[in-house]
Formats: sequence, C-alpha cells, structure tokens
Amino acid sequence: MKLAFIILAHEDPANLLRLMQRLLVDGDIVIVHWDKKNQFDMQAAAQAYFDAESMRRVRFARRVAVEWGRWSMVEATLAGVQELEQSGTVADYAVLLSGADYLIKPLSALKAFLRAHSGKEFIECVDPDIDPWVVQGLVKERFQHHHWFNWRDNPQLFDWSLKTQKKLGLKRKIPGQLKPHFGSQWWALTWPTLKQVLAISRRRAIRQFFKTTWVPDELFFQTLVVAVVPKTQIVSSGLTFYHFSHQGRPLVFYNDHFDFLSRQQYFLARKLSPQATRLRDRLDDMLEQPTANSGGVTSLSKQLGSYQHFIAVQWRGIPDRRVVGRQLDAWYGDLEWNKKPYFVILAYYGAQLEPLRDALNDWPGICCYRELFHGSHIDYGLPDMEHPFYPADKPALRDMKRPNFLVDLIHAHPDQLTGFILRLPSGNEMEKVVIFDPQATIVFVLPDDCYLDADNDGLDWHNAFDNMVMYDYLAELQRAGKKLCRVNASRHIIPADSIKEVGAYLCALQTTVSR
Amino acid sequence: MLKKLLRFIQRGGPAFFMARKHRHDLTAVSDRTSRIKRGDLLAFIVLRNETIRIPYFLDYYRALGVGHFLFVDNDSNDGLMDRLAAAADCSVWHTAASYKEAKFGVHWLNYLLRIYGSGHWCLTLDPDEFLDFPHSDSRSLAELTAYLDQEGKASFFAIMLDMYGEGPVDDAGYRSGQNPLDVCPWFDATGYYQDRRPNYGEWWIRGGVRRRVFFPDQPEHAPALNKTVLVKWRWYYAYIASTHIAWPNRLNRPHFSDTLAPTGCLLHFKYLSLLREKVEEEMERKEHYAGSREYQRYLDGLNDSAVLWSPASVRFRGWRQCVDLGLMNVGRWF
Repeated sequence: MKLAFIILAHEDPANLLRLMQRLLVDGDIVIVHWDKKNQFDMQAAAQAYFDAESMRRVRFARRVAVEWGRWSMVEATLAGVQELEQSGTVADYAVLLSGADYLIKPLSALKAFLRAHSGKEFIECVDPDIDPWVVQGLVKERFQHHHWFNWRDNPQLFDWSLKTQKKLGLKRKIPGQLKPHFGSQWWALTWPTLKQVLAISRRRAIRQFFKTTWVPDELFFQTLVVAVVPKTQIVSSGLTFYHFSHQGRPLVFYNDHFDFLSRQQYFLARKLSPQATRLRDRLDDMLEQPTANSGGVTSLSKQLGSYQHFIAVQWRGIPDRRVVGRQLDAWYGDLEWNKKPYFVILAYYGAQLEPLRDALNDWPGICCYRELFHGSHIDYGLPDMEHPFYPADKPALRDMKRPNFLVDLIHAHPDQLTGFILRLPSGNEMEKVVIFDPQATIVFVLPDDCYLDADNDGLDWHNAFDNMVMYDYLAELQRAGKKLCRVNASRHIIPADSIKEVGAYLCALQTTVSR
Repeated sequence: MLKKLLRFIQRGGPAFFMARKHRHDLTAVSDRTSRIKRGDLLAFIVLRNETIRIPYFLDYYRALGVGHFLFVDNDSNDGLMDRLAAAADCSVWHTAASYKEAKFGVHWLNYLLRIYGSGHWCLTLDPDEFLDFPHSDSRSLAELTAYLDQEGKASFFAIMLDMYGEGPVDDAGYRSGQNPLDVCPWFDATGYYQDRRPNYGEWWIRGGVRRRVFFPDQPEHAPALNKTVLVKWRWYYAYIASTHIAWPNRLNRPHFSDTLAPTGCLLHFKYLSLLREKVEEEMERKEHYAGSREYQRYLDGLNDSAVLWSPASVRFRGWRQCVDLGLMNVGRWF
C-alpha cells in the first residue's frame, strides 16, 4: 500500500520538516503546499535536510497565497492534488493534513487499517438538514449567499453584506445536482475518487460557485465526494483527531497532552503547538517502539472523557476554591465558595456558655471558639488554636471583611468542625450572614421568662430585652427556613441534658461531613 | 456612537497626552529596538538602583521567551549600564526626571508601550516581579499568549504574592544572579480580599503579608495586589495606576464573559535585605505613592526587626499549589 500525504503549511519550517521525516520512513510520498505569503524558502530547506532518496519522494505544489476561510485554501489543496497527478505515482490513498499535525499511531498501523477498509473514503460528510455540524456561527448561509469579504479582516462588512443579501431575498442556486455537505477539512481519499473530484473542480461553474462561499474547505471536497461516491462507501470521519471547544475553536495540544493524545483512536492529531517539542519527542518514542496500545485501531473514535470532565469542572471554577477575579456578592465574601460546615452558638448576652463550650471542646474533632466577633478584640478562647494571621489584639484585620476571616479560620484546621459564639444583638451583622449561609449550623440559646417573676419589683428589664431580641431573631430564622438546634437556658445556665443534646447534634453533623 | 467616542476621548485622552508630554524625559542610552521582530514578546521595566536583581531577572524572562527588554532607568548609579550594555536584547532609556511627576513611571511606560509595544504581547514589570501561570512547567508563555489570542482576550490577570524568608527582613541577603526563591520561599496562602471597583472595573485585591504585618490597624490602606501585567498592546491603550489599572476597562476583566479564563500569580520579592537601603533612600526622596506612606511602614517594620514568617505561612511549590489554594485559575485552557 502506498500513501500520498498532502501537507498544507504556512509557518514553522522546523516542525514541518520533522513531520515530513516521520511520514517518509515507509516509502510513501509527501506533497507540501507552502503558503506563498511566507517568504521562507521551504524547498531549499528540505533539500538540505533530506537525503537524495527521500527527496525523490518529496514534491512541492504550486504555491497559493492562502487566506483563512476563503477559496484559496481549497485552491492550495487542489494544487497539491494536481502535483500528485503530475508526479505519475500511483498512490492508493491521499491524506490531507496540516503542518501543525502529527502522527499518533505508527504508519504500519495506519496502512493495516486502510487495507482492512480498502476502498472506503475517510471524509466527514454531514448533511446540514440533519445536523448543523457548525459549533457557533453560520451554517447554510455559508453557501446560500455570496461572501466577498473575509470575516477576520472586515467583520462589519462581512455581516453587512450578508444582511443586505438576506434583506433583498437573494439566494444562490447550487450548480448541478449537488447537495452541500459539511465536514472537517482533513480527509483521506482513494485516488480514483480524488481524480474524479479534480475533474469536476476544473468546471468553471463549480469554481465560480465555491469561490464566494464562506470556509469552502469545510464544504468543497465533502460536497463533491458525496456526489461521486455512493454513501455506503463513505466513512464519515477523517483519520485526523481534532476537537472544537464550545467556543468553536480547535483544541491545541501541549507538552502535557501525551496521554490524552495516545488514547485517541485516530492516526493523526490536530493541532500541536509549535513549541510542543517534548510532546513530539514522546510521540516519536512511541512510534518507534510500538506497544500494545499504540497500534490496532479498529474503529475511529474520540476519547474525550478527561476533556469533558475538565470543562465541566472549570466552567464554574473548582468546587470549594476561591476564584480570583470573581465574587458574586461583596458582602458575602469567601463564604460564597466555602463548602466546609461550621456551627454558630447564637445566644443572648447573659447566657453562661463556658460549660457548654468546655463540653464541646472535649468532643474529639470539635473546636468551639469564644466570641470571635467581639467588638474590641478577637476573643478566641482557645490559646492553641489562634490563627497566626489574625492576632487577637488586631480586630481591624478581621473586620475588613468578616466572612473572609471566618473562612480562613474554618479552613485552618481541616479535620475539625469549627464553631464560635455570637451574642445577639451582635452589632456587626454576622447574624445576617450566617442565617443565609447553608454551611452554618445554628445552636440557638433562648432565655427563660424569668423576667416576669423577678424578685424585687415586677420586671427585670435586661431579661425582657434579651427575650425580645432572641424571639425576634428566632422568628427570622424560621422565616428563612433555617434548621437549628434549640436550647433553653434556665436562669442563664444551660442544663446538662441540653449540653449533651447539642454535642450529639453536632457530632451527627460531623459524621455526615466525614462520610 | 458619538457619546461613546466622546467618552473614549475623555477617558483615554489624558493618558495619551501625558505620555506624549513625558516622552521628553527619556533619552535613549542604548536603543536596539530595531532588533524587535514581529510577534516578539516584550518586557517593559522602570527601575532605579536595582542592578543586583537584573541578571536573574533577565535569565528568568528569557527562559519564558521574552524577545526584548525595554528599560527606563530612573537615574541609577549602581552600574546598570555595565550590565546591560552588552545585552543585544535590551534597550535602555535614561531619565533623571521625577518619578512622581511621571505618575510613578506610568507616563514613561505608556509612551514606550505605544511606540514599541503596539501589536505585541507586552509584560510590564518591576525587577522584583516574577510571573507564574498555569502549566508553566510544560507550556511556554508564547503558548499562553497564542491561546489568549485565539480566544480573543487581550490581557492576562495576575495576583501579586509577596514572598518572604524565615528571619527578619534584614537577614534575607541576596547575591546577584541568585534565584530569589532560595532566599524567600514563603508566602501567605490565605487572607486575601477582593472587590470590584466601579470606575475602571478592576478587581481590587488586598491582603497577604503586607496587610498583615505593615497595615494591621488600617488594613484597608494596604496596597493593591491585582496586576494586569500581560497585555496585547494597541496604540491607544494605557496604564492608569501602575499596572493595577489599565484602560480601556475591558483589559481589567480577569475572565471571559461566559466562563473563567486563566489567571496567574506574580511572585514579588520585595522583602530582601536590599529593602532597608531602598526604603531609607525613598524616604528622603518622597517620590512614591501617597507620600511614601507605604515606605514609612516598611521602615518602622524594619526598625522593629519584624519577622514576616508565621506558622501559617506556606512554602512555594509551583503553579499547581497556587491553583489548589484558589490563587490561580486554569480557566478553560485545556
């Protein structure tokens, strides 16, 4: 089996030579189309690089100045095909690839695959009536209207001309009985089919029609191959692995993509970064010492699992991590991305909470600070567990954005369930933050109604105020639908049973977290 | 349309004309800009008496693929030209004019960026800043800029990480040519505060060791840590306040409109023993931002032999660690 590789290249001569060398090892021929816009003398460089034997199998096509998205791209490809015809060599298949592509399976495996599927045409042909194929942008407009401007250079003129034609109701007629098909630019076709396509391409009407289509390289060969070959002969996929991102841009492969590329059930990959030298080295190693998984492609298929996982994760940012340069709510700060639960003991000013705190701190894996948001200092209450970045006597550091301080503290001890006491009214709005934070578990300490039977004369105003504040806030919590662990103090002291209850409540939370 | 144009002139005009005015400050000492090739990555630096940092700085950024360095030498007297005279990829402009008058060097930079940087990806740096970006161990900066080009993004956002050593700042000695990471491998992994500001839409990030040690009582006065150091420059672009704020506003956007973009970290090695000399000189000159308030704090800190290291400090281990700490984004750069 003899192959002919037609390479379209416009830059990076060193990597082009490297690719050519890879393709020449097995007695096949290589035809290079070197973009006319690049002044570099590619022919001389190749002559210096290859020996005479290899050079006999290298040919250079008539050079065309290639413009992305325009007819010149097809013209360059046709120039390559013409060069192949003139060379007189009989090739079984011609493979179109670009200078930024590289082999990801050995040539022997490629030939074995083509032998097994002899006579099939490897070109992606998609009927736009069935599947739009294009990720973002124009589909049928590409051939239904004239495109005289390049969108890359004159996006406004391009859009204006399209809009005007649509408004005037101008629609183009497709010559012959052609049915337009879309597909990737990169194909592998049998020589008889290619010869037929070349013959059709010489017809004036056909050339005139495709000259003003948009991105004809994804249209021309696909449409003509469907016209000359029965559909059963067409394998609707090239031999080149490529993928377009959600934004419609081709993925570029770098030095760290070796594993990803070697998983792909294709023979060539598009497109490699010009600087990805180590990737090319590793692929070379693999091609020279084929292992079990490097050959033997039975059907062409993309293995995109890791890419799709990556995109799914990165779309919104890594879970449980801050995203630099994004914050949905300034007031909420780092709590926005925090996924680690914590607890808050909301209590009135008079409640005696030290016994509760001591009992909680005796539980393994629970760490309960005192009043972290105390007005005059950071009241840690746990001398060994202070955050070194927030000294107790520097409350300004904490108050610059309190949620961020809280998140830093929660994450300082990854294996601990952290909590703190917040006395109401706090005067710093932290109770408004925790009420809406799904990660906050609330232990709510209510006063008893001892203000009614106060010993001296009728009413204890302090207690009455505490009652009012706490019941007000309780109503607010209930309105927000927040679950809480309710504790009733009696004479400002929390009963031993309640302390045990709170401990069990928080421990249950802890086990659900660790699970 | 007309309104848009007017606003454009109103906001971009002053920067443009101030840069034009301040071009007279600069005299070319060694102009090798004719060697700049199309598509080269350029670096623009304003410096004063920091020659000791230059050898490693040049090595680091040459390895990243910077093609040409354009220095503005604000009247150094420590032999800068001896270092740079032989380097074929460095051009130097000298000025003895006031740093403060030139809006802390911004007007000089804007002028050079417009003349030499238009159409190139440009890094605007201090000699103590080292850029790290996602996949920096396997991908080059040129690959990053090619990706940003392909995605239609003209700028790359970075957060500045202040690096420090274990002992007092005065003990962190630095030899010329040494990797500063050997002296100052520690940084603050938490304690950063970000807010978007309205006028230029920039993300204002404060925090880290500066806020913690030098501004504990007025943390809101801590200097900004957001930097847009890598920009594909066009003639009308401008930096407004150092590299913290760029204009037009879209350059300050860290991300794409729909998803996240890659962002980087700028390792900042200010806290070497060199700081004392620098601070003492700057306190004399009063040429820095906000009446050199920042420098007064540094001097006080140095005199108290402040130790920046704390048990919560983290040793720098590369870009993956920064991503894990939520200080760098990979974005959708697969």
